[in-house]
Amino acid sequence: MSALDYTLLLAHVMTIADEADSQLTQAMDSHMNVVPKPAAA
Amino acid sequence: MLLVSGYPNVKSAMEAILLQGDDRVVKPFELGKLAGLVQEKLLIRKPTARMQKERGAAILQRCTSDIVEDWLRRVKKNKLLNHVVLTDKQRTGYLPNLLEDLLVRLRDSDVAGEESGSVCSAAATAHGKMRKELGYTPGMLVHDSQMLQVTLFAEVADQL
Repeated sequence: MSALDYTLLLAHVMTIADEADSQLTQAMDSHMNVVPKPAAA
Repeated sequence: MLLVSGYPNVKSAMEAILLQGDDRVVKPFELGKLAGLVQEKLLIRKPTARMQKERGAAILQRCTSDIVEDWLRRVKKNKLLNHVVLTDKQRTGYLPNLLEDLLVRLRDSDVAGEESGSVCSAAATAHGKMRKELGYTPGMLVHDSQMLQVTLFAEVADQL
């Protein structure tokens, strides 16, 4: 028997939402042929 | 659990505690009696039904195929996304890879114990490019992603 670890639930929900948004941004950049900016030094 | 006490008069209080324990021993007691009691309890020990806590990444990994199926079912009901006719394989495309990148992020946050940065996802880049080739508009790509978030949160909610 298992259950979700409630102590981490909120952090996981926020991480899932943030990562899904990040993936959408990257997919959209690719879709729109946007060249990713190099990381600032 | 064995509870040892030098105060036999607190029996009622001990009874309450013993709801979580196996037996009580009142001091003074003979060592042999204690050893015999431990041995007896070990022989008749009941299996404990302790719930094993599971982290979000483990749950999502275990449910990856369910998530893909649920996502596909939701997408097929979406009128906007069905303007483009695709096979199931084309629809799901890089979804398993996107989920794998999400699991990496979740595991990183578990290890770090704090906020982790987003993953540079080759799957997301390939996903956007493939969707464009298949005729998706930017709006459809947004819907596609929203479906994934809804599906993920539905899966998490199912575990509560």
